[in-house]
Amino acid sequence: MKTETNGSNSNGAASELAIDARSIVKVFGLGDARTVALKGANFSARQGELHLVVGPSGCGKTTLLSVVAGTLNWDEGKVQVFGTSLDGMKRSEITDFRRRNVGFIFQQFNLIPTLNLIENISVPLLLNGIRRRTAEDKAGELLKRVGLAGKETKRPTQLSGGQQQRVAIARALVHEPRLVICDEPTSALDSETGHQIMDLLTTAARAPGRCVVIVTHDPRVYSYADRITQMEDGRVMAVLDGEPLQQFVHSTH
Amino acid sequence: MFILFKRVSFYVAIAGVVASLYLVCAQSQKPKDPGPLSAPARSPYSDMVAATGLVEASRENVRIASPKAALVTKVFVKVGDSVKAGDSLFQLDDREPLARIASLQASLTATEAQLGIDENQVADLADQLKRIARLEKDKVATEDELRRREFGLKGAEARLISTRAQVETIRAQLQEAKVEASVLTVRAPRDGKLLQVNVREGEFAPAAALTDPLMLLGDVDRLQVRAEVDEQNAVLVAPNQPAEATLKGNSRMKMPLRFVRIEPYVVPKRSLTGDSLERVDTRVLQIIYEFDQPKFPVYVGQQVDVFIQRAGPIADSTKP
Amino acid sequence: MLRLALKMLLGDRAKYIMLVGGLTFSALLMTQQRAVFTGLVSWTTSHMRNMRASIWVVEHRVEQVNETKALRDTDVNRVRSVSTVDYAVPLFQGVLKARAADGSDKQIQLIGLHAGTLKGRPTVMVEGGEEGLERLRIANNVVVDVLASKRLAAGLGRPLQIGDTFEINDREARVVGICKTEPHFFGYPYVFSSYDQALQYAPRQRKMLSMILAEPKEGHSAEEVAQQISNETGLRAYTVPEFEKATVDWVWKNTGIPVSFLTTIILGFVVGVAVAGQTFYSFVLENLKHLGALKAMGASNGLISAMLFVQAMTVGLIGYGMGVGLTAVFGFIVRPIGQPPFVISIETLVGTLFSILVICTLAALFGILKVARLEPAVVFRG
Repeated sequence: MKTETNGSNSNGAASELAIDARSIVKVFGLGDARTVALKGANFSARQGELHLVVGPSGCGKTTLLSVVAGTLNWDEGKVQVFGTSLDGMKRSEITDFRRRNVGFIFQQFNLIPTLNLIENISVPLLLNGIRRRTAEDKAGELLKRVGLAGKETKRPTQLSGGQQQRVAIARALVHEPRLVICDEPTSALDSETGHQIMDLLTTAARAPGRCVVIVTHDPRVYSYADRITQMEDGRVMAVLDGEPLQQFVHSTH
Repeated sequence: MFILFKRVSFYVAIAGVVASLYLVCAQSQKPKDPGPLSAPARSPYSDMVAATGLVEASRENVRIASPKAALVTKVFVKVGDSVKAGDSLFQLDDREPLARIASLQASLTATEAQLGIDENQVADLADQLKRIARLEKDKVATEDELRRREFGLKGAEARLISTRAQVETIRAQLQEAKVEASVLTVRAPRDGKLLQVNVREGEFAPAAALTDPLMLLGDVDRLQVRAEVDEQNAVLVAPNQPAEATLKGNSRMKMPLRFVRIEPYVVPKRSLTGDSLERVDTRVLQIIYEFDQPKFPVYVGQQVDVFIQRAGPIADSTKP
Repeated sequence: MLRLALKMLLGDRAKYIMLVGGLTFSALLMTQQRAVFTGLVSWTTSHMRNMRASIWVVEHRVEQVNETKALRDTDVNRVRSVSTVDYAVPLFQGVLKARAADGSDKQIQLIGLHAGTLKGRPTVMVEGGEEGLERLRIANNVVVDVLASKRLAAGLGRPLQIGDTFEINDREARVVGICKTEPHFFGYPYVFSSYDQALQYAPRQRKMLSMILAEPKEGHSAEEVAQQISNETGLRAYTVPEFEKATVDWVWKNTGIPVSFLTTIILGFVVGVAVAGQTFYSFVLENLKHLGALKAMGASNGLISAMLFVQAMTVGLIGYGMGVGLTAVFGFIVRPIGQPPFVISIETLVGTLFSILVICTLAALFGILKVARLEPAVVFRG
């Protein structure tokens, strides 16, 4: 019943692509309230890369992210993640898929305030049916890796914003997902902390077979990107790579 | 689950449930049925008819009444006295008949004296007539003299008859007065014991049937039980069925009963609650049983519970 | 995850207290009102606990124990004549006027017991003991209950004691014992005398016998014997549970008491639904962001539902425990006083538990509906 989502048994050029989304159309609302958020956007990200999606507010980048993360239904187009097609998947199948393969990092961290750090980090493991003891050991390891050893039983509210985002990163990585989706991870942080967070994310993206996609309009983090997808008005305007990417990074500084 | 164990509220809730369950148990316990204080009257038979009975003298009690409305002048007996038939019980005021007897006696003497005089006169006149008749035959006396003597004798004889009748009348009157006087002495109609004496010297005895008789005479040497069975249960009773009586209020005092008879007439029940007012409640069939004097005392008028073995099978019961 | 659900619930102390408090109040209201109602209804059948007998024989039209239609004296013998009856005795029951020491008239419940057996005698003697009961067989002697000893002592300055006298229907009554009884629905105190004595006290009527108490022979059940008495005599014989049920049914049919209590109990339920539902829903709304994040991370709707359900049931059970606990405390306080009536039964406890669980299920369902309709993508619009 579970969809085989392991990219290793895919082959050819497709194995290089972590995400392959083509001609995505997404419409919100009906009648006068009808807005077309995505107007046939194409988007692809490779394995092992840290991919930024940038663009002005309301350009549809969050919607695109939601679609490729499997959290939002789209109206037209095809989406493949690590060789698995999300088209026509049942809701419960998509949920299963997300649970195994996707890690999430949010702008507002979205840590559960009534749980301590270990518990917060172990949530994805618990969702995947790992026993509590094992899950908490793993969570402790991750907490150490993000530099917060010794704060296991602290509550998220007792931490600074940067520390909370590190916990969120630990949570996003704890079940070793292949795809990590980040929504404005540095917007709520000062630039010092933002750089630390981006360092962590860059390290994460270097893990074999992983892809980190970050939606942001924070120019401070552009320099961390392997590739940048530029969006405007529901469409992908450009995918920057190599020299154009360097130029773009410098131009925005 | 276990993190709940760190919560005070969890223990408060457990305590609450325990307390309420304890209250449920405590409240559902009621004191035990204490049962009857003394053993109730129980039937020795599996199928029986229960009845209420009254102990009475084996011959029906005699309710002594006054023959005449009169003053009681003398009471010869007291409660509990044994009397023989003919013994005087009490005396009504008899002065008036005694006075009449005295006066009649006097006039009887006078009239009897007159009778003697009259008899004498007749004898004298008869003798004279005999002599005159002889003289007249000899023509010594005139026929006129003879006739006069004849009429004289007849007149005297008539007077004698009248006086004799007068004596008889007075004698009869005397006899009547004596009877009248003797009736005023009330005597026992038969042997027995005086169970009640409700009259005292100087009281007035009415000549009527009273609720409380002047005296109650009964035969207490042999007692019997008059059992009353509800008319609806009458069909369940048959002659000669075994029966047992238990003294009211003391179920250990048991007496086996022997059947005597069933009263053929179903009568209105008299309430035996000790109330002076009679309340007709239902009609009852009365059955008479006799019994031997048991070891414990039994008194006339005592109430008993009677159990009579049923005649027919239970199937004959009166289904409404 | 369910453990974390519990932690999420318990961690939010203010919401937790509000939820548990609302449910506690609701459980208290439902249990306490039901207990007072059960107690009040139980007072209508207190005759059967104050006079003990397995079978109660009454006139065939009598529907409940407090009603008397007089029988004929000979009916006692007709009941005795039923083959499975061990023994049967008459009982007088009537409300009479008694005169207290200060001359004021008080209503009393006069009970006339069969003098021979004193069947149906009071279960607990406070003063006088069995000797006092024995003395009931003597004319003009009565045993009064504690309530009567106080009420008939008006003007005396102290409760009636053994040896005191008062008047019933202008006849002297001498106290030879004081007993404990369960209060009666009508509120009249009990006075026990012998049956014959009761007839002396009571105003004259053609028929005076109120009821017949009977016991089954060994080897026969009370139901069977009662049935046989009914069939053979045309009277109505009830066993104690039957008569209790008939009396309670009568109260339901003929008085407005059940409706008024039912209203309060329903109100307790509605308050519970409103408070608990409302609070729980706002708890869910407050956690919506986190629940959305969980959904995004791959928590299925089933798991989220189970979490909400565990949370709702936890506050429900805790609130239930506290509610019935508070009711029990109320019960412990009023029990020695005897006012107001209070009988808490296992049915009441189970009923309240059921109601609370229904409330919590409803509350959980509100939350579940809200979360189920939530798109996980909502977490990106932050």
